[in-house]
Amino acid sequence: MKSLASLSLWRIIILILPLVSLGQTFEYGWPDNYDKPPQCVDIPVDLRLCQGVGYHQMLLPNLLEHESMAEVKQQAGSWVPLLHKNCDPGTQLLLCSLFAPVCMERPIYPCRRLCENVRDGCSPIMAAFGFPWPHILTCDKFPQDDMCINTPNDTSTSEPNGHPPVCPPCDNEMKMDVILDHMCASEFAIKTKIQEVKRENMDRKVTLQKKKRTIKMGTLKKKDLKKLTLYLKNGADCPCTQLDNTRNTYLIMGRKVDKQYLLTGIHKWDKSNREFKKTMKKLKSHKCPAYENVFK
Amino acid sequence: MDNTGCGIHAVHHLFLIWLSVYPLCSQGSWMWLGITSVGVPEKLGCAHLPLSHKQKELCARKPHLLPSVKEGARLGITECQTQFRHERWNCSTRRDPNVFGYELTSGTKETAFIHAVMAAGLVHAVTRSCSAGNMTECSCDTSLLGSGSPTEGWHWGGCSDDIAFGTSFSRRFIDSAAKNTSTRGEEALLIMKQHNSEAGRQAVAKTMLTDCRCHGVSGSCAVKTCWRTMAAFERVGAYLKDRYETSVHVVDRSKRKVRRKDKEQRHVPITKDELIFFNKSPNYCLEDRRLGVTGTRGRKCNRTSAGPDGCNLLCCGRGYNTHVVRHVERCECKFVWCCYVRCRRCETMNDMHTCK
Repeated sequence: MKSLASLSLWRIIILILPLVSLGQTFEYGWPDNYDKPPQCVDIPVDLRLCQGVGYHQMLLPNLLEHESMAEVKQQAGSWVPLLHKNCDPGTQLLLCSLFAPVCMERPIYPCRRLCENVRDGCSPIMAAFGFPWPHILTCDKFPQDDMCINTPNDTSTSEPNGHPPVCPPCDNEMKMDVILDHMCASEFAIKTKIQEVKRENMDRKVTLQKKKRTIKMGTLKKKDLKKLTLYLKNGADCPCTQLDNTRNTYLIMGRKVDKQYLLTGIHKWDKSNREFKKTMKKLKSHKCPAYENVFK
Repeated sequence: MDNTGCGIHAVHHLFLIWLSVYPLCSQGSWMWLGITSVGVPEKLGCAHLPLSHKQKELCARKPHLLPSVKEGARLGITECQTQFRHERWNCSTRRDPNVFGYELTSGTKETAFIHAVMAAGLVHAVTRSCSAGNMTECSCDTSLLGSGSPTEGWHWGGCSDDIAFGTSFSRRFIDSAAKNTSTRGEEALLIMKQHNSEAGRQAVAKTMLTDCRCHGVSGSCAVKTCWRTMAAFERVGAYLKDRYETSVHVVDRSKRKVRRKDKEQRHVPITKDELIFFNKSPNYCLEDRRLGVTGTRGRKCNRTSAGPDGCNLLCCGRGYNTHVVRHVERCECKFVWCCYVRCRRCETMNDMHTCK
């Protein structure tokens, strides 16, 4: 049994305080405790969220109260697909400053502006997958002074795009890492063809053909599988070349949010593509991070 | 107090000289473990620590608990000094085994707080040792596991602090210390000590809280695990400070039942978490070397404060001296990527006031 007795001592102080009024500052620092202090450890190579972040050592426990490296990896794993979306240049820096904080005498939190930029750039994409901006990344609790982490070259210029952004579930590289990450982030995955695509309010409703093969069952039940209808969340007007081409067979991933099944990823089932074939072979032995076993 | 077995074995020369001034066996308290240097209790061994006879027996039988006792004592003393740092009596300690001197036996509100916070510190330290897996006879509280509220999306898990063992040990270690009392004053002090120690243990129980961890996908709370945990010890200390401010003056003549001194309130029951005392406190203004009261001369005070740390109150009307002190500290710190902190050095000249 892993000991979590000291967890309360490591709780971020402002998380348990009432809402902070603007201008009020808190003394960030290690909680008063008589346990051993946080340790400076190398960022492991399999903490993929934070590879190439710009430093090589991190504090454990981290700033999200994760006590063991297993817990850090397990919780960080679900954020890797967001990095692939490139929704903001500061995404990795924000996440890693909390998941794998830099080793300093006292903890250095991300700047509020960094958090707000990432939130504004990434929360629409997270919403497309059915995830709200999480409580652990609430920007109001981060500092606004100079003792915080910002993007090294903090330019507030936005890059103008000539075309509307691709629907997030359709905007995928044909790369093994990307597909496997999305597979793990999704609850189910099936091989099938598209029967019909129809607009419905702000979403697009995707009806699948009757013939299906399950790649990953997840929480899906057999009876639900027969008449499965997926929704492209907030995807009424964004381009998605996969949905325009109903003749192809697709690897379709999704998850259930409330009573709706959301489309979380769609890849052309392309046997002639070497990367795709490699991914399908790798899929048989790939282990997704398990979310239950860190806590007993 | 144990008056037998006063043989002194060879120890460090300094300790030998020191022991000749303050023989450990004639007086002292387990609280001394909280202010002594690292390694000293282990070197001295159970037989030579300032413990009662029963405490020495417990120590010999369970030597692995000695670090927790030491840590509990340190917790209690540190918290006492934190809570009273701005008061006339600031929980100062002496270096002899009596530790608190007059306040340990005076029967005042200060005595009440000392007993309560020390008992609480022992519960806290032992329980933390249990949860950390350092002990074989105790661990986490597993009675909560398996239950929870699946519809609300959380369940009990992790390591819930089990204060039952720590509480039980605190009772055995502290309350069994002195059983044979003859004089009436000693008996009253014993009753007071037992009541207030128990109030300290209750403070740990009452300040327990539920901590939860969201560990669903992408930081969501779809999966949430909760456990019961002791509050940080400063919260226990603050809780007991509140009890100290409202502690109950009791009659010291009662044989069996503790009763309020206030005649009109005499039949109002005294609750388990109230602190009791039977002697009024001195004003702690002037030094009394015989009692070990240090007085407030030389104490730093706040000229603009109307509270207990203000110069008027802290100095007891004797006035204060003013010195100008130069402070050099880091300021305008900036985190530079990646990764170091750059600060400027700032000098400030401040008035410092000390009691006459």
